[in-house]
Amino acid sequence: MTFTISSIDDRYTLDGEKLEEECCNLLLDCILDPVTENGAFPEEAVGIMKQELIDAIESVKGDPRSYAAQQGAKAAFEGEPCGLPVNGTVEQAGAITPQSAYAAYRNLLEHSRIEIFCAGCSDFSVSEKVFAERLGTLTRSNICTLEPTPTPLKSVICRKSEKFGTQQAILRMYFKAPQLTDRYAGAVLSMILGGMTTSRFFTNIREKQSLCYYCSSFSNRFKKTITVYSGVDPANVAKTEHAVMSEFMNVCMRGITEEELEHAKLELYESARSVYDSPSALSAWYSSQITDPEILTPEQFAEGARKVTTQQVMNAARIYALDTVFTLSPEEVE
Amino acid sequence: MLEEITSERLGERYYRYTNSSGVTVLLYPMKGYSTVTAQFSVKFGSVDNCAIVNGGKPWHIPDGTAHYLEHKLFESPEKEAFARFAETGASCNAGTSYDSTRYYFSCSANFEKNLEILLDFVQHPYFTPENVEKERGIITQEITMYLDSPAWRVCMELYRGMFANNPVRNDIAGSAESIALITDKLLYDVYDAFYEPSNMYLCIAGGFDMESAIEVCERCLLPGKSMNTVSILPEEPARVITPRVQMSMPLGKTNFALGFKSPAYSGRQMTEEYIYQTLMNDTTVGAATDFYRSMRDSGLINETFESSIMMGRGFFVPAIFGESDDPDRAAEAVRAEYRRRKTEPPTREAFLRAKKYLYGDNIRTFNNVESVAQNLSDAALTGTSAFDYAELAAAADYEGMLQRIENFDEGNCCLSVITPSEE
Repeated sequence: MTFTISSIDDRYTLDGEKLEEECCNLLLDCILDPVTENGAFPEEAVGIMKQELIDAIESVKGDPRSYAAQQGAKAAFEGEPCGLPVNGTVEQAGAITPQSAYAAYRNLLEHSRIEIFCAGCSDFSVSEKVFAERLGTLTRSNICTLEPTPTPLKSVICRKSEKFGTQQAILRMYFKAPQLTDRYAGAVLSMILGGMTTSRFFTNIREKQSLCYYCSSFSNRFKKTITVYSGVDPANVAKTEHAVMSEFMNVCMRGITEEELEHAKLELYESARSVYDSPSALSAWYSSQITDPEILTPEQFAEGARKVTTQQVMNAARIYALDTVFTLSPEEVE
Repeated sequence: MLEEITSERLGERYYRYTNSSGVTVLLYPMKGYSTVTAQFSVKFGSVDNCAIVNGGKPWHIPDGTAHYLEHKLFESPEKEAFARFAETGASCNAGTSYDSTRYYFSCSANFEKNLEILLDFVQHPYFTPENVEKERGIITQEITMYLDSPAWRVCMELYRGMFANNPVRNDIAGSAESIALITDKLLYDVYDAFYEPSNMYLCIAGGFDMESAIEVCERCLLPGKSMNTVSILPEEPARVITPRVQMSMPLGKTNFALGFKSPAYSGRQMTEEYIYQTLMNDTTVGAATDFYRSMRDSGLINETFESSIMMGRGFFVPAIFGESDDPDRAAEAVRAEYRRRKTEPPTREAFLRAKKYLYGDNIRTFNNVESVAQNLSDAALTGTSAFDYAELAAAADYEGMLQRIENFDEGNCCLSVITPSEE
């Protein structure tokens, strides 16, 4: 759960306002002093929020790509927390009471790890003082530890499809490598397969075969997965799945070119360097490492990726195996 | 000759000059930034589907041609642009809107080389029957992707309900039928007509060396032959063509968009109207108003409710978007609130709060290299300054907002509704 506030620097304010301290206090007022009645959140507000939460849960059906991601994750990560929908289920939302919501919130304040991140044109001494003073009053105990675990590989490939009233089919393929220890090779592999505009998927599946508008992949270093996703004509689902498998197999069997490796490293290096040009990118960079045992700077990550060899990428590809195929389609897909 | 454009308020400056080719170049060096973004834009978008070239007869261009051309310009007889940028590490892309097409890259190294690639591929089209045909399947899937998006459809249907003739009622990417008419010959003709230097703008922002940038521009920007192309926007009635449109799609909850048909603006006046009408929306139906709170408390709307202004060359549409089980009642409540505010206007305090929010929101865009490049391109394409917004927002006064509320025609509107389809 992240609470964020941002403001312009004091030198740009219209009436010479000093915003940093005021913003920190405003944010902390929201966090530390929410409106309550009789030791719980107000009943009326909880009723409204419950309905809005249900709306949000239902609204995923209005975004086929998000719905496919949710249902694909449910199949790929069955029984794991990351297989659960982000906003929970309608039934779970319906069961929330003013007391249960407030108890959950108090539990969060007492036991969660709290990280504070500030970025922008200030030395943040004012922020530091305000946060230290006001958060220092919190009762804290038994701070939870967060240890992400790799997702297990299923013994048989899971295939699920759902009918949906759309015109385009969405294919999601989940590859898993619970034994993978080389995070940099995994990241480079995902870039080469579907993470850049010269990737195998973009070049061969989109540009050469004209099968789709997008076919991309991303890796998750905690779960040790590569997820491939593409929007295709329903008649081309099987062909696209086959094409993705071919590209993966090609890397396993024949490896990658030095040129591909350099392109991927350059892309990772460039995106790491650009982090420093935006406070929100800096914040996102470090927030994404909140569960990491070691925190890397953008340079450290780029340096790690720079050392990856073609052999390492090939080795990583050989560890990955197809775990789940999920298809959202106007028709049932075999 | 470099013209310096400064903002005393922001302590910022950028430079503008017209290259010997005729291309307008805007340079915004940003100290302490490690990345650079360059955008090469042409004033040619999806609404430009009819033009007069060299004084001839009106020439009708298939819908989606600007977008198709954008896709194909990355092609080359040797190495395509994506592959060339991959060698330098830059990320590149392009986008077509209703009234412009932009090609851009971002990088933290090899700036001059990347700029050369950008200028080279945009100025050297390479269309063949084969490569144009190959793209049809890709673009058809892109069109289909948007057709499956309720957020996109509710807006497209709104435009169709509001506009009788304005091409903004057609999808930017066209339709499967319209793009079937596009050939390599057509793309060359369209390129020659619209991609002429005087219709193009190069905007660069970030950590780069001005002299190097100018040197590359002088060397790589090519003179072109003017075909005196004049885009023709059809006459458009002042009133919406229908007050309500509706369709069904797979959804969790009914989506709606309520659009108000307003006169179109251009240049600095468009920015000024955008600011005042945004202030009007924020103080009338915005998240900090009692109206918004009561609507949410009653369950008629939820947190997706928002107001925005969609605008461009030839259109200006203040609009409300949201989800509701009863969109007609929500829309009527919004219209009634606009009416009520004519006699019971928002307070001066509410105006000042909204103004500071709007101003701060714009100031924050100067934090980011890509946003600055975007601001520059917007300014270049509309003939304004990248600092106009901040200045106009800072100068906005209460009386100006009241005048917009008084003049706002809340009855000239269309409600677009998408209901959940049967399972």
